[in-house]
Amino acid sequence: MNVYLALSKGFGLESGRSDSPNLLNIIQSSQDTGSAKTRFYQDVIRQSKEKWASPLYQKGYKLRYDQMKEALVGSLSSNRIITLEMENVSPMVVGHGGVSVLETSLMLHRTYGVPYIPGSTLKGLTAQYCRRLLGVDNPLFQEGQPYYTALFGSTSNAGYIEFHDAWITPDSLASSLLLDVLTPHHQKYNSIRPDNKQNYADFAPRDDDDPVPIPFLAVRGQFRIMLTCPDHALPEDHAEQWLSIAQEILMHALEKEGVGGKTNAGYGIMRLKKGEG
Amino acid sequence: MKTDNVIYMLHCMTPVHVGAGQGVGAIDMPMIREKVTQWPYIPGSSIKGVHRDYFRNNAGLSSDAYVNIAFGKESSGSDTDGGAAGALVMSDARILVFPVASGHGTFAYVTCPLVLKRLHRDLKATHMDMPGIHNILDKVNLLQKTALVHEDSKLLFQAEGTNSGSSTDTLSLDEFKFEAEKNPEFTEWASSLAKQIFPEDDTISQTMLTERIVLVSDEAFQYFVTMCSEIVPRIRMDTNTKTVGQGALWNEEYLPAEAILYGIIWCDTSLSGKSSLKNQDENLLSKLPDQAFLQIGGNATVGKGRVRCNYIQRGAAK
Repeated sequence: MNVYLALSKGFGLESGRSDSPNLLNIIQSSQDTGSAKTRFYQDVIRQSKEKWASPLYQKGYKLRYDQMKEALVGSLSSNRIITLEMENVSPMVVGHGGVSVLETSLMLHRTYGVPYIPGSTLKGLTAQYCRRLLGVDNPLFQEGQPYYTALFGSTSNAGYIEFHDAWITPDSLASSLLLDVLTPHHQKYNSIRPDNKQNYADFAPRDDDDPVPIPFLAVRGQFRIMLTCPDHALPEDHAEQWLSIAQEILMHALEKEGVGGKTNAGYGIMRLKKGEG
Repeated sequence: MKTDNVIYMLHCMTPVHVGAGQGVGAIDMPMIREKVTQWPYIPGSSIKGVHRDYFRNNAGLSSDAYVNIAFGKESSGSDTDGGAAGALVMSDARILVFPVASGHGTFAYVTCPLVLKRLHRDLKATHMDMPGIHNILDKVNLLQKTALVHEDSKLLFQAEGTNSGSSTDTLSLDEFKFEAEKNPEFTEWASSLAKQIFPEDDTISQTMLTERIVLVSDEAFQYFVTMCSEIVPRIRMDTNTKTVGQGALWNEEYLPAEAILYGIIWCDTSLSGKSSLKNQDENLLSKLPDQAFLQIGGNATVGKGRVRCNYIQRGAAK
């Protein structure tokens, strides 16, 4: 079972039933792709749960999960690394807009097939929160200003802080996938473009058009976030301070704004599970 | 000639991007590949650079004099000091196994006969040998749709065979299915390889390798390394609108996590000879640790390029 492979190529779903939904017949079915997709996702969720719940199956991933931290801890002094675990309060959709035959996509590890939050996502979120909120009170945190550049770098300098991919904890892996649904109402009305000279007579949002539910996969789990500051040119105590600033901004951004897509609808909010608060 | 050398094994823990500049196709930032084979590799210059950095930043490990002699020294500009080339020679890291998503067992470590031939040739150059490679290379004539696996393989499932009613061991890599053969020669070789790639105490990693390694035809391998690399879309958000900035979507190509590469480090004794090193530093290669955790290639600040490097001193390969 590799959920990434299942969602992108549709294999690894040997359920034994010939009528089991697969990508091909979702695309080919002319009507009611929604319910075909729902059954497909349910199949993926069920099998993923079955597999990852087994400690034996988890063993390899758990080993890599631990080794990644050991390797970082082993190569840096304790002032230069921060580890914390954050958990989803609301469902999370990272990589929702990716290219997929299923309309919606999800960020999954290409080798292990598990959900994760890319370091670039965390760094982008932190940088955005930093300049938009901290930057208002303290101009030094605005883009191009010294504090911002120290944390995130510029085109001529690397930033001090490394944002590692946040791996999902092995314990929360089995139950991490959720079936969710988005239902656009008034599709015709919403497709109106002002520049398009069409006759929009029957495009009014009258509430008698059919809503079309689109099922998609969301994630709910615990993630291990690691920040490091390996730059030897920077003294230990400075490294520690920059790290704690980065951590604070990141945690606020995760708690208040959320990570990934659809944050305006409340998706992607996280809270601290374990670590230095 | 004195031949001091060490084989190193690189195990990618996160995706690695050693770039090849701007691409012209769908991938804006391709990774570097060998010109002729199109296989991904990591240039010796990258390997040597991160090693120099590693030794410079681990002061307890070596002296400045060691770093200068092992990795070279810039000219100070005066006539009498013309600088010096480094005595350690580091080869490119060549692909040994490439990870591909698998329907069963999550992912597979994929390799092919051409990889083994190159490995065999490189090992010979270092006076090492890996038992069993001969047996595989001599006997194997892989068809497009068949694959060799270890006897403990976790990748297999039963599918209907060509004769009606029979079922055969099958494995699915990416979107392709292969008929699998549990092969004793391959089993023997893969077991010994696992012990060399991973440290002695990391038996779970060794088992992961043997349970997931598969030998496919050169053509199939070619497909996987060219079409199944990790493509990551990156965006830059517009600060004010919270939407993707104009023209700020690009695709980067990565060597996926779990790829394993190998290379050779040797010591040019003519250069290390005229050294001012203290005695214990004199054998440059002996300073290499058993294992090092390194960062190679781009995007370090978003967690990419973390590799574990294992060094096999001469004679250790059995």
